[in-house]
Amino acid sequence: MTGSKQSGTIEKVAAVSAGAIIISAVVYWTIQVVGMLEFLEMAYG
Amino acid sequence: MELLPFFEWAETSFLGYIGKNYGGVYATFGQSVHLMALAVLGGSVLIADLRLLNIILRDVPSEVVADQAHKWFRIALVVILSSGIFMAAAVAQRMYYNDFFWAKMSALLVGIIFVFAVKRPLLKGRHDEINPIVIKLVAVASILVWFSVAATGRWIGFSG
Repeated sequence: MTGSKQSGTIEKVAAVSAGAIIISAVVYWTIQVVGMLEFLEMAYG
Repeated sequence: MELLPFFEWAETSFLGYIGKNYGGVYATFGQSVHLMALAVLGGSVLIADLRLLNIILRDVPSEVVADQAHKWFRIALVVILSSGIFMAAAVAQRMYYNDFFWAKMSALLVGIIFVFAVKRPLLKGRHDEINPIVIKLVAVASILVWFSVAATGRWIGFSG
């Protein structure tokens, strides 16, 4: 595999994995914050 | 694979015994060292990633910042893992039933794999040869994953 092909593959892997991490983190923390807000509303009205 | 027997064993191990019965050792070698290492790791992540996002240290080449920050990242990671194992051993069974402990371990595993299998290989060479959008995506993902490690870690202390 040539150097440019290899760096292209690394860039693709980096873009896909970074995108997956960003989406997962946003979904996870949105669920946590919504859950916390619902809990606070139940507890304090 | 059933992990509970391992956690039960960890709590009765030498590390678990020391952490459980000697509060001073737990607080100093465990918590304090763990939090200081977390500060170093968080600092190295933020310095490198904010530089990759062109927010700070714009007069220093990003290759230099990323390389220097990674050296401190590795040191901090070793200290965090060592002190974290010591701390978790003392309360291993409580950790086993804590959802945030598993969220932290998952984020930590993803973070370590991302840094050593993706981020470092990508950033080893010249950064001006890499697509700038990919560099920024990697920087944002890195900040988010280590934020998740820190936030879920602190959440353990306020849950259960």
